[in-house]
Amino acid sequence: MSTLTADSRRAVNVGAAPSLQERWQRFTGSETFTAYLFLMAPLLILFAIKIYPVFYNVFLSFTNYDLFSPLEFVGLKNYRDVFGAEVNIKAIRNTILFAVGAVPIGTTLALVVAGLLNQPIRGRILFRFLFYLPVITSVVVSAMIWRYIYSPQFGLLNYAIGFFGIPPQQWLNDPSLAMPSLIIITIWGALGGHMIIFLAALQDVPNELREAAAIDGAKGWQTYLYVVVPLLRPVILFVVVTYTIGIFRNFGLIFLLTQGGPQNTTNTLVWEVYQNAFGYLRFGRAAALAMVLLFTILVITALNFRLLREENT
Amino acid sequence: MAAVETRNRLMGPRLSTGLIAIYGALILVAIATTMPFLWMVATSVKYDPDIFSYPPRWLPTQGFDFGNYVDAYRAIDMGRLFRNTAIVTVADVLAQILLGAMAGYVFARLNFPGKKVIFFSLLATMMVPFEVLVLPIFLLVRAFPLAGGNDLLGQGGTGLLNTYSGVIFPNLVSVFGIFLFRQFFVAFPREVEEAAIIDGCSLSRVFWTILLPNAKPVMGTMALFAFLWTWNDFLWPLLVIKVDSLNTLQLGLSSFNQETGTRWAELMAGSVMVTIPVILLYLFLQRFLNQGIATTGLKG
Amino acid sequence: MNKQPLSRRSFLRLSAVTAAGVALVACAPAAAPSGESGGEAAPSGERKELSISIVDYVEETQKVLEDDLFPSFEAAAIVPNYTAWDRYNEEMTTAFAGGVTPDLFQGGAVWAPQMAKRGWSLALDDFIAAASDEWNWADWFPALQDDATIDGKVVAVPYRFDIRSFWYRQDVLDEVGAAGPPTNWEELREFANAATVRDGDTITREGFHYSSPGGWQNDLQPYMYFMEMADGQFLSDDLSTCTLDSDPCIEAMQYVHALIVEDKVQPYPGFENQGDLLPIVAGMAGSTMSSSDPERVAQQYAPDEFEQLQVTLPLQHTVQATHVWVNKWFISSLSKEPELTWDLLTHMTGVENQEKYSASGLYQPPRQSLENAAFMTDRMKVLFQSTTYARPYPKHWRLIELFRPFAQELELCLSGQQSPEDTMTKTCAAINEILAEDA
Repeated sequence: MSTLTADSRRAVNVGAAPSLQERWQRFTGSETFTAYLFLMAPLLILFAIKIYPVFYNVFLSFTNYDLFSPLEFVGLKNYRDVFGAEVNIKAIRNTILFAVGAVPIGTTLALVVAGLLNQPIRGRILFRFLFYLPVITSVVVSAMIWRYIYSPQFGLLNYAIGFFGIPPQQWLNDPSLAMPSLIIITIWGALGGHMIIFLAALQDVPNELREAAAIDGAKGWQTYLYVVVPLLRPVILFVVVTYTIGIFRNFGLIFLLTQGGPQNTTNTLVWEVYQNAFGYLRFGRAAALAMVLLFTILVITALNFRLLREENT
Repeated sequence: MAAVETRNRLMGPRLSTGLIAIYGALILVAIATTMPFLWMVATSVKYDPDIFSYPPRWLPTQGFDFGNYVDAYRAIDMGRLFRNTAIVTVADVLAQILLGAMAGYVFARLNFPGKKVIFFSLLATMMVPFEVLVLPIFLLVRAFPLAGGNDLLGQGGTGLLNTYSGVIFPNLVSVFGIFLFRQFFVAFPREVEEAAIIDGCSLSRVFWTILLPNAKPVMGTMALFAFLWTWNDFLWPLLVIKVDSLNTLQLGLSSFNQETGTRWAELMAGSVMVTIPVILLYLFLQRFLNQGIATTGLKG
Repeated sequence: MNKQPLSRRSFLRLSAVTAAGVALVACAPAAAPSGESGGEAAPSGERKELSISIVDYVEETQKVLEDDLFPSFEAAAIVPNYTAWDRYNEEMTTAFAGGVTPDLFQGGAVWAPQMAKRGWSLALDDFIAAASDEWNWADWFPALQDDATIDGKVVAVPYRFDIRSFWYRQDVLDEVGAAGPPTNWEELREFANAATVRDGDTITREGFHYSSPGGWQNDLQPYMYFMEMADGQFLSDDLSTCTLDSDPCIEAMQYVHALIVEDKVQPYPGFENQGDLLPIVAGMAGSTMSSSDPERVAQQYAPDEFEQLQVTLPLQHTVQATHVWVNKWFISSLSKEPELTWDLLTHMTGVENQEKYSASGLYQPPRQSLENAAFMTDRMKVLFQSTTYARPYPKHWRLIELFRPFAQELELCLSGQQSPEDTMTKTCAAINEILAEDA
């Protein structure tokens, strides 16, 4: 530091080119410096928790890593195992089914509810709170509430469907009902969050259009559907993509409610990754499964973009 | 919104059939979203015979058992769990807001080499679910340099495992938060800042004194989201925390689910207690929520 | 650290991590938490600490441990971690992956081979050889000792065994006019059919409660008992091939299939517990297989039902047999205080303390000398005697993974979608595939 000061003093004396100090000041005042200074901590942390793990995971997926035997490269064996096992193919299918079952209905519902809330009504804040309640409830709490509601012997739901003459069901234990049961919880849990996003977006729609949409009756709904909704396309895209990813990563419900059963009907990729890694210590195969999951997310996201973009133009 | 509301107020609520249908539909949805919640509250004050009665009853026949709350609190030492969870949550909320605002500001306002590449790679990481990469992150947290007896290379000790920092670390930054702040700052008028910069104010001063104080809506929104994520997180604490003294609330709750059966009354009472802080926070921050999302690019 | 989780030190460190990001003080958050120990190692000069993981406990157990067994171990302070079975395997796996294992931990029936194979449990032979006569390893049932011995080395000390036998309700036996509880398969089937109560197509009382909903264990466990009674075996003696497609195993499957799919003596899956109340205690089932749980639960929550419960020795079929789960203490190979941990282990399993622990949850004690301990009720003694007929699990280190295909096929069979023969053939094929990988 002292040499630097001496240098700069000399530089000032000479009075020619800008001094080191000035240059330093100019550098530290520059946009690039400020940008990288501000970004340093977030980028370092994100690198550690988002980017490095992906590469490490790729590496693991070519090994036999299991915490105790010597690490060996096994080439594509893990990937062959993943695609060779019926249970994994089923997991991929279940994961997609989960998303297909929840996202379209969930998004439409959120869009409709946002449209309703956007009407000239009283108690909007109260409604918003009630709709948002499931969003702020943790997955542990929601899973437990729903387990009790789904209970075959004491459950509220079986009681409710009894009014319609439907016999009691084994919601979470019936292979044909387990996934729909999880989808119901997911739609319930996510409605409020997406509704708020749509509601915010609706407020940006020009007034005249909104007033037109506020007219009650079928005409209002038509306006909403044909005039307002198309304006929301980017937001819908955002919701659909985040919703899908949210479902692909859904771990808590499966861990707490079905553990992949019955008959593997709720065995999704995330659950398969978790089981292989922490249940069987097959970290290599778990890593390969994780890569498959990442790839599926990429493909689905790209598809969503294409689908909704194309309609847009 | 304001225009519609004014008109509404001037003309009084027009209870046309359409409006009635709208209220009807909204009430129906509200019932669907709140019913499970009310059921939880109702169950939390019941004695066992009422919990296992069929048909299920909303109101207890055996009287109210508020003792469930005391039992639940004692059984998993909730005081300690609340404190642990609060520490972790507060740290992550503060970090997510500050780091998110700083990075959001950079991407909204500053030009620098590599900006586009960095921004889009960040957005791309939003597609990478945390759940999938828990193992590498776990190993990284364990090999955290100079922590938990580790040397500079992260060897020899246990890193951040079994510490608050270990729970906090992966949630320090949220890409979504960065995105939210960026969108907010992009929409924020530039005039004030430009005047300040002409006056010789440094870029970082502009951020701290002008932009940040005006970003309250996004900060409120982010505070709520960050709080929800950390307060309700389950998988990560499950993996990093191996001693009871550092357990979080969600871990504690799941232990009511024992091999011999589920203690519903206490579980539900505990769940109510765990959820109340989040509800309070929502009520406190909800005015920001709409505003925060509305002012960001999510509107498209 | 563990005593006061929010010490000022840890709070400072935590603020430092946050501050590092916030104020960009140290370029990287990595530098922030420097110079701190992880909090696990006890500072020198202070009293030593040992950590312990407990998974077999009820409220009373916790009380006994906290008020009595832990404080009375004077050599070290005990830091307990109470956990649950449904996440315990994963929890310990990550603990080992991270090097933060407890010194002493409880483990399940199929853990010993897996722990030994991975080198995660300390071999205890030297300790046992040097142990005092008072502790007396010879007091453990030989079968339990054998179950804890892998490749000639003792890797664990059993603290509980979970032996199950047949439970009946006296009121239901009277109701169907049975002279006494069934003694063989035919009589059980007859009783179960007579005891099942239906309302139209709906079963309102299970004649025999075979399984509960949720988790592979609920179908697989009870099957094992019938397999033992048919004299079947899960794996060949050298553990190299699956033997579930042998005749005795198929016969057992056919029997269970007959009960559940043909006779429908319970819905599939069966009734759930009412909180802590098992279906048999709640009067929703006429009979079941269980450990001493029904007795403990009835005593605690449904004293009126207590007298109705009856337990018998295992049924006679090809042989008289039952299955036993042996739960054990392991000392972590990562423990920095192996000797001290061994002292703690002998403290926990000494005659007196073992009795207190077993009494707290009415767990079957592994020590033969405790047969006539005060807490051993008549019903527990019946179970205790069943030990003579007990067979443990094969000692394959990947048993948990081997169970998976079996559980899947079992579900198909018991829901009526697959014949018992196909079930066993397909199970064996899948299991042999996994076994081949190791060979």
